[in-house]
Amino acid sequence: MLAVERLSRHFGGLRALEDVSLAVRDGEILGLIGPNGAGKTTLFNVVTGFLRPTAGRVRFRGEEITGWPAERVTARGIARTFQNIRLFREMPAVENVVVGEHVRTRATLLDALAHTRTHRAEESAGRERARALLALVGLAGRETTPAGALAYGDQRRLEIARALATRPALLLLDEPAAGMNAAETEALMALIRRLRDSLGLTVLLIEHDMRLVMGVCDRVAVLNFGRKIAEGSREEVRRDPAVIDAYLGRRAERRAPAAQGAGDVVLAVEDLRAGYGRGDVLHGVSLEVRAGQIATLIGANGAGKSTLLRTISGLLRPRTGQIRLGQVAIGGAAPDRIVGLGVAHVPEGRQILARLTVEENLRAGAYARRDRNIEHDLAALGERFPVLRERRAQPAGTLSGGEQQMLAIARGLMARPRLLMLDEPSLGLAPQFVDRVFEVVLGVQAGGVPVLLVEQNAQRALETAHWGYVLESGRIATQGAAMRLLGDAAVQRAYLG
Amino acid sequence: MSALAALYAGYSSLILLAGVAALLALSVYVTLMAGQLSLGNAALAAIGGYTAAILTRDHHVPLWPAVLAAAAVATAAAVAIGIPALRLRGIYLALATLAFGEVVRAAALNLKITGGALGLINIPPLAGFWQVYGALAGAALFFYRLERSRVGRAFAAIREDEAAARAMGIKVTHYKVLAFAIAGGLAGVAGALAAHFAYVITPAQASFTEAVNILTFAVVGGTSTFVGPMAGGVLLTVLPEALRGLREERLLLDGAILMAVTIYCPNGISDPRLWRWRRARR
Repeated sequence: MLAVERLSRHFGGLRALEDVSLAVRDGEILGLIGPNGAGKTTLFNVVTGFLRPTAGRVRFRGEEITGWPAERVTARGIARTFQNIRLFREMPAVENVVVGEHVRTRATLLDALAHTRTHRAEESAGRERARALLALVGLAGRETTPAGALAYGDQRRLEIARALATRPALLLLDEPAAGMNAAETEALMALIRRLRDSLGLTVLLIEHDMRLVMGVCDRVAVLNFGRKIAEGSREEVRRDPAVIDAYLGRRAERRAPAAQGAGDVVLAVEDLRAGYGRGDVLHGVSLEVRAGQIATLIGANGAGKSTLLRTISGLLRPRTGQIRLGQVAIGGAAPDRIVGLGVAHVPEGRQILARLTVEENLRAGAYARRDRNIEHDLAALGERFPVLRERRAQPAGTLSGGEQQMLAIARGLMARPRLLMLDEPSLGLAPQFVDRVFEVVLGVQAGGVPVLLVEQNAQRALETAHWGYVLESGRIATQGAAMRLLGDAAVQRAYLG
Repeated sequence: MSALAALYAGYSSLILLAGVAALLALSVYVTLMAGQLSLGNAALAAIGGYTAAILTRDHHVPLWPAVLAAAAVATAAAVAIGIPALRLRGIYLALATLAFGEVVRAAALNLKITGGALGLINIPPLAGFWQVYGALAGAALFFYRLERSRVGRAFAAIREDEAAARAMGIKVTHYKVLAFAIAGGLAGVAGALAAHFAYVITPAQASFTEAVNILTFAVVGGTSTFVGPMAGGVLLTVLPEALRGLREERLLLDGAILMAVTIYCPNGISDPRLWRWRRARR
């Protein structure tokens, strides 16, 4: 189906891809894995015509498509999704899918003006098909919701529906499960199998979630530093020592988290209601984070986890309820004041300042501070995150996903917070990097800063935290010692898969 | 009916100017639909105006053939600048189209055929209410259909995310040039009609002020549907006249209204949410 032959792509001195050859067979599901920055997305970009290769060739169904523009590649039958979701955010979900049909429809401007039969037939058939595709990916009922207002996992599914609308023979999925919880990932795996089995698609997918990779892929290829280091069946790859070293990492001994923090209450949230527009997202949430504690908040996409963090950090005004930091009521205060009082919020998707250097990003984190210890803290963080010290003069946008996450956390710490809130820190990271992120979280807590952690990876979050809250449809459904929740049958069924 | 006739008799030039402003606002709106900011529309209108005026005044061509010729020349000019300029993005595209406007203005000032600084005078009075508002109705129908079509969706996709649009197989350059061509045609028609009720056309038609005015029509009116630019064009033409009694303070108030609109209804006065909110309060 697809043959990549000795492909290289260099960016200045960086060899993002070096002499990679890869064949995707008709009707197979091939997984592409590797550490962050290994060149996986670059490979997608070269195949789909978003980047020209420095050397090498791409063949699709026997035809050479090297260097074709993206729109021509799509027309020939390759569709893709994007790692950093690129939906048409203002358009309703169904319109996004209808746009996907553009390349398979013919109506011209004149057809539309004269309201010809071609135009009318394509419009009604297109809308019909778009609804069917939304239903296929599990978004029935969300047709008129603007794409940007959908929950993260729903946006990923919408991207798949939109890609399917171009009627591809080969579908490239870039981290389709990022931001999904175990139950959603399960459903996604079923969907990917169905695309192959009943629609006859060939699928090439990049993914860090090894359960998904090992669950649906027929074969797996591994990239590291732009080179292919392994290719083969799931079992072969899993046992390959080079792959284990580069990517999977040896699962760290599970450290029992430090003794249950029973310190003073640092953050107290009482009966909080908040939301966007007319409806409430949070229906009376109460929780607390104590000194020396890592508390984690788990739950399905759209349960209100990010909304809760946004309300605590003042980005969203609470409708009713109390938020206290220590003794100070902060509910409804301006975000800059809340940061000044000591709440650091590392948002989902990191939101680093891509054009500023690493050091400038870190200094921006200390913006609310007036003391003289900033230089000292900067040096201390350099010790703790050697990668960031090494790259301090580099624009932050050039860091890999994992490094950006480190930077976002380090930037949060620069504010010398009394509480650190992390939203999905492991999102889109290779397993090896996920381990590092959780190590960092433990380090932050050991350094005396309590952490409120929102995670899709509920298993790891509960293993790391002392106390867990399960949020369901804007309400705390269960809470308890993290170890106990880990063993709770209901929680396991819903979130641990 | 006689009241309307009296109104038209008293304010005919204002009513006609409002219609032309709406057409010009639509011409800048079509490029905004595809996410492109063009400040060359005043110059395109000037090209249309000069073309049509020369044809009717010096060669006695009837109005509609002259208008069509004006649209054709302005479209050709728009495509000619569009193809190279579309390699540019955002503010650079705006600057390039602005520079194009200055070139047109300088050419009109210095060429013999355009009458130099004085412009062309004694253009036959061929355009009236039916011509201007007929053209506007046609344009409105055009946009009504365009917004509900495959081409309109392609424009919207390009505006929202060019890379994603390409991944959908949309030929981005093709559609950007198409948007420019439509903008050129509309501006050409607007310019041609304006010349035939104002009786004169001068190089000032292509000035920077005029270009910004046109953009303001669209922004104040709102760019979520074609109704916005039309409303903006009419409102911002009529409003200064309605405030004429205030003399010097008029310009101040004009500016204040503009600022108030951009601050309090950033999506323009045609924003549906704005109107829904009003109804809900009642």
